[in-house]
Amino acid sequence: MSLRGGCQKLITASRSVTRAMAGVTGLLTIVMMLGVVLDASLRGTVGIAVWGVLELCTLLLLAMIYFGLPSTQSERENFRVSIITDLMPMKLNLFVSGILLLLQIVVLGLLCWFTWRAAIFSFNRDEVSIGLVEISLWPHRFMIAMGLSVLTFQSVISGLDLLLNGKHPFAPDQAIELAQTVRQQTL
Amino acid sequence: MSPAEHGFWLVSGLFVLLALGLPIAASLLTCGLVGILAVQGWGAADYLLGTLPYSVSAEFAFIVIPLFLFMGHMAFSAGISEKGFRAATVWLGHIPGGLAISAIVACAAFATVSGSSIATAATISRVAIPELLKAGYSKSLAGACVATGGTLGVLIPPSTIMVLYSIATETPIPELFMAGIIPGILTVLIYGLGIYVMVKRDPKMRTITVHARTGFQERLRATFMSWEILLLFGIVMGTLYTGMATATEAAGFGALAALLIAISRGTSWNEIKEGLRTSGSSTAAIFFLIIGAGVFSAALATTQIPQSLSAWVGTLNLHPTVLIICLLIPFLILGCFVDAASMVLLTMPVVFPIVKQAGIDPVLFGILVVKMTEIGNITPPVGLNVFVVATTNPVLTIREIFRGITPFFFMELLVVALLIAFPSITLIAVR
Repeated sequence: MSLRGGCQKLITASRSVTRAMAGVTGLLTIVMMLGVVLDASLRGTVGIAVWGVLELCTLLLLAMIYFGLPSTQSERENFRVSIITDLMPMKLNLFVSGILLLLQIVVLGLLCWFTWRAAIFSFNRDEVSIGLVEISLWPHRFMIAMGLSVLTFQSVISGLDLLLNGKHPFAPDQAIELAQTVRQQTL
Repeated sequence: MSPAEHGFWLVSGLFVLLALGLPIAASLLTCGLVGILAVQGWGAADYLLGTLPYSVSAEFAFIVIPLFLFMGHMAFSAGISEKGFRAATVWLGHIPGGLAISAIVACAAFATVSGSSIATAATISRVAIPELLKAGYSKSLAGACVATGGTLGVLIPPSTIMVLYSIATETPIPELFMAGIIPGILTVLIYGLGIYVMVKRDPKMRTITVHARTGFQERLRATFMSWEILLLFGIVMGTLYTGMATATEAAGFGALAALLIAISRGTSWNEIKEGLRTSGSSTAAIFFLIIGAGVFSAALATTQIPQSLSAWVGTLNLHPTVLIICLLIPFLILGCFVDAASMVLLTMPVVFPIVKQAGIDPVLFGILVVKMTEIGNITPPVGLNVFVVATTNPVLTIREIFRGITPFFFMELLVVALLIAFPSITLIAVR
C-alpha cells in the first residue's frame, strides 16, 4: 500500500471512530436523563435519593463532552466566523486555514500536556471529591486528557485531509457551498 | 509590558484569529493560553490550564444542556409542530395575514418545547411555508415571518442561550426562564400586529386566501389536539415555577416525556439515535466554547481589563438606561457575524462586570442579550435562521428572505426599546 493510500485509510478510519465515539456519547444522554428522573422521582415520593447519581452524571457529562469533541472536529461542526474567509479565493482560504490548523494543533498539544500532568498528579495523590459521596477524581481528569489527545490527533488528521484532498479543516462542505450560493445571490 | 497592554494584545489577537476563521473556541483557547503564559509564566499556566478544563465543565447542573437539546430533537422528530400550526390556523386563519400570524404563533408554541432558534425555524418552515405560498403570500413575507418567528426559540423557555448566559454570569436558570415568557408573548403580539398592518396596507396582498371563521368548539378541539406541546411546556415550566424541580430535573422530565411522545408517534430508532448523536456533538461543541471562554476569562482576569473597564464606566456616571443601550449596541454589530452561543460566551467576561457594577438587573440584561442574539439570527450576512429557511424551502432565495426581514428587524428593536423602557415587563414574573 502506498503512503498516500495509507493516509487515506487513516482519514476514513479516524472519521468512523470519532463518529462512533459521538454515537456512544450521545447514548449517555439517555443514562443521564434516566438517572436524573429516577433520583428526582424517588426523592419527591419516598424521600430517598439515589446514591451517587450526581457524581455519575457529572462523569458521564465529562465523557460526553471530551469524547464528543473529536467528532466536532472531524465533522467540522465547531462554531466559527467565516465572513472574511468566504470572500477569499478558495486556494488562499485553504492556505490560511492550514496555518490556523497548525496553530490549533500546537495549542491543543500544549493543553494536552497540562491536562495529562494534572491527571497523573491527581492519580498519585488519589484526589477525591468533597461531597456526600467520596469518589476519586483521577478518572475524570484522565478522561479529559484522553479526549483532548484524541481531538489533537483528529486535528492532525484534518491537516492530512487538507493536504491530500483539499478539504477545508473547519468549514463543512455544505457551508462552503452555501457561502458560494450567498455570494452568487447577493453580489 | 503592563497588564493593560497584555490585555490589549490579547483582545486584538482574538479578533484577528476570529476574522481569519479559526473556530471561536480554538481562538479563545489560543489567546487565553498565550495570555496566561505571558502574564503568569509556565508554573501558573501548568496549574491553571491543567485544572481549568475540569473546573469549567464538571458541574452536575450543566447536564441541562444535553437534556434540553435532546428534548428539542425529539419534539422535532415527533412532528408536533404540525399540530401547533394547525391549531393556530384554526384560531387565526380568518383574519387578514392570519396564516402568517399562525406561523408566528406556531413558532412560539414550538419554542416552548425547543431551546433552539434554528430548530424552531427549520421545523415550522417545512410545515408553514408551502401553505403560505399556496395562500398567495409573497415569498419574502413567507420566508421572513418564519425566519423571524424561529428566533422565539431562544426567548421562550426552555432556551439554550439562557442556560449559557446563566453559566457565564451565574444568574439562576429558573429566573431567566420565567422572565422570558412575557417578552416572548409581547414579541408574538408585535409581530402579529405588524403582519396584520403589512397585509392590510399592501395592495398586492389583497388576493391572499383567508380561511373561513371557525366555531369555538372546533378551536378548542384543535387546541387539545396539540396536547403534546401543552404537556411538555407544563412539565418543564410547571415543575420549575412551582419549585417542584430544579432546572436539571425539569429538563430530565421534559426529555423523557419528549422521547416517549416521539416513540408513541412512531419515530424510528435511527431517528432517535441521530437525535442522541446530534445532541451529544452539539453539547461537545458548546462546551468547547465554554472551555475556551473559561481559559480566555482567566487570562483576561490577570490583565485586570474587566475591572479597569467597569471602573472607567463607573466614572462616566451614565444613566442605567443609557448604559444598557451602550452595552447592547456592540451585540447588534457582533450578531451580524457571530452565532448566539459564541456571542454570549465571548462577551460576558468583559461586559458582565460592568453590568454588575452599574447595578443593572442581571435577569433583565440576560433577556435583552437574548433579544439581541435573536436579531443576530436574522440580520445579514450571518442570519442563520434565514439560511435554514432557505435550505428547507429551495423555492425561496436568501435575498428574498433578507428583503422581507427589514420590517421584522424594526419590530424587534421596538420590543427591545419597550423592555428597556419598562423593565417590569420582564421582571414581573420573577419578582
